[in-house]
Amino acid sequence: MTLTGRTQEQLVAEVAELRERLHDAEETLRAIREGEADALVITEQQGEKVYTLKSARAEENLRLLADAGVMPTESLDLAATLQSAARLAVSGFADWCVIDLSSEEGPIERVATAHADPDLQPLVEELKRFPPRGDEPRGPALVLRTGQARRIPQLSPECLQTAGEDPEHQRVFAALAPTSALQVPLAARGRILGVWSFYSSSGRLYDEGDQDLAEELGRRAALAIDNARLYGAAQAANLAKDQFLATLSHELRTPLTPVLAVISSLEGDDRLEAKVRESLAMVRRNVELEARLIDDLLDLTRISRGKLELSRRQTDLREIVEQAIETCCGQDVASGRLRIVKDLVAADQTVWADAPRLSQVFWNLLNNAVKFIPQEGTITIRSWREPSEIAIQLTDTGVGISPGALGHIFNAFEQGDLGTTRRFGGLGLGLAISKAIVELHGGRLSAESEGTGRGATFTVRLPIGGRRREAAEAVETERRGAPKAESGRPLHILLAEDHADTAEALAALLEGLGHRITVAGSVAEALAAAAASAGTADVDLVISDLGLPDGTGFDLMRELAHRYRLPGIALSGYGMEEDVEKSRQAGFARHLTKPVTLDLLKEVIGQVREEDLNALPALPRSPRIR
Amino acid sequence: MESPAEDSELCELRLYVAGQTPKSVTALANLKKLCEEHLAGKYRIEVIDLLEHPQLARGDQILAIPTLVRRLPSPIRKIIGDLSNTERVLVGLDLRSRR
Repeated sequence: MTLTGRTQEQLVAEVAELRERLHDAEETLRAIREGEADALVITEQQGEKVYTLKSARAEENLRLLADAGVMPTESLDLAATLQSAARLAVSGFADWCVIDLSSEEGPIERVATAHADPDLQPLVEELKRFPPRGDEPRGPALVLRTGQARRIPQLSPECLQTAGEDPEHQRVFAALAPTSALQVPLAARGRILGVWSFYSSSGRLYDEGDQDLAEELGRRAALAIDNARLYGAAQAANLAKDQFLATLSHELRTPLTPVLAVISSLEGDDRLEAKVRESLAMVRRNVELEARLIDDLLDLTRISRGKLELSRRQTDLREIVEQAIETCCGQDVASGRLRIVKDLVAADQTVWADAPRLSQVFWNLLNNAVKFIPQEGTITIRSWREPSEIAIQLTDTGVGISPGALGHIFNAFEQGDLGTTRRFGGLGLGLAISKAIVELHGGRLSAESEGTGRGATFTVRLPIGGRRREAAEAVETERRGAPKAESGRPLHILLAEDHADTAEALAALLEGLGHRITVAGSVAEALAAAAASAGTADVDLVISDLGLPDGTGFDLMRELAHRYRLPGIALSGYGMEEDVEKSRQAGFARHLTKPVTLDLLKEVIGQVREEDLNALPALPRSPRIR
Repeated sequence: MESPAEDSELCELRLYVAGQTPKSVTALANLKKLCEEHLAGKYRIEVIDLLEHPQLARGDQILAIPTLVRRLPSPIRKIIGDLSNTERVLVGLDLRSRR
């Protein structure tokens, strides 16, 4: 398979389309962040669904009201709130009471009842079987329709007779023997949410003053109901937002795979002029940058769901910092724009850390420092030991942080202020992610600045030692780790991928490494190909996409692992934890998230093969995977 | 404006809203005002309510609401939000050149 089907123009067009999609994504996030959008479209299994986002304002109102202590409860649980309100009312004001709520569509619900006499509570509970009907000419239904409170100072025996049409209802009502009644609307923000009915059975006759009090109680209860409903909506909106980000990341990530693959392969093509290859390197750097932005989005959803996981081992802290400086500042130092002053002697030791994640932290901090130094400046990196921690401190001479902004720069999507966002670009996710990563390591990340124009200082503190508990894990990680950079015997690889461009590009890359490739576009094709070569034990390795037209990569892997004991590598666009876990269970030795680079693929194939050679033939293949 | 040829073309706009959410209402008002000021007589606005027809979000790949899509002249352009920043909308619709 070759790449001749693709011209440079097509490649440029693909990258342009990609840029457009990323632009859309950034625009979307900007609009949400600045409160310019208030609804989201989420694609669910049943189709598109629209979620309206009243959350920002709603949550604000919510906090305000909660602080003001408006309702006699701290609970946002609607049923509990109303039940406690009902109990409150029967501690003197009424002998018994009933609360009815109207729902968006559907019938009126009788949600709470209370009686001052515990012995009569079961009787009043029976009223829940007879909620008012919307069209009734009297009682709670009338109040719901008109929004006007009703006071019936003295209930006549005839009145009791007409309570509802159901004889059973009349019997219960008569047994409760009300003598006077008040029915007030529960109204909030111009909407009538329900009715609260108070009854006296002890001869007390409700007067106008009583009505005022009942109406005030009604207003407070209505606010509590409104809060609980808004809170529910806000929760739903938050969930929707997470899912939205995950979908967005996947959408953006999938088309990057063929683009990156083709570029890597063209870059290595000696027949192309050096100048062309330079341009390709530029294209690749930009695509990789976009991939990183998408990774940030994914990381953020993981963090917000508490699912970011570390894979730790003994790590040379100084090396991580030095490499980050080289990566992020090398160019600017060479051009003379940036000066680096460093003292990393104290950092010369190992920490128990996830090296790629920790590198991400220092990249973020250094990139920020570089970004926020307007023309020329200095970054000073110091390190020192504290009793149980090691500290790395980065100080820049950049634009600084205003005191007002300092408090929330670690919040996702927030940079110093909106002006900063426009001036410096970016999604504002880096610091939030960095802080989460450092804290997962048991460390701390803090920021200081003397104000706008006076530079900023970020300090990372990481614990020293503390690996005892995880020692066993470390041994295994190290045994498993250390990729072998070997080219080895050419393999026959079965590639299951239904996205034609991705399949073509990956096959070309793998062939470039000297392997032989069989492409299958579905589970059935892949199984057929494996069966065809089974007699000769020909296929060495499976690389499979997770979403195939006639099944999942998991199904395929389970079959192949079971029948032929083939090792496998999973590819997916999502990189969600569930997928990673599921692919382990299905028998995949590794799970890679698109886009996949040549180097990574090479490394992982090397690792999988190494493990395969080390594994005892009698062992089933799947339990090796952690 | 940079290219007079484009002036004579009809500008076909589609605004995606979700019922009467505050931002949907604001966006429509902003859009009408802006079109009258900058495109008088040369535009057509189609409003699509995604609360009623959520499946219509697919065609233009709508993720957030409100979103304005310029269908014509091509290329298709998308502007997300309540269109309160007139400058950004004009740039987005190519009615003012990007600097």
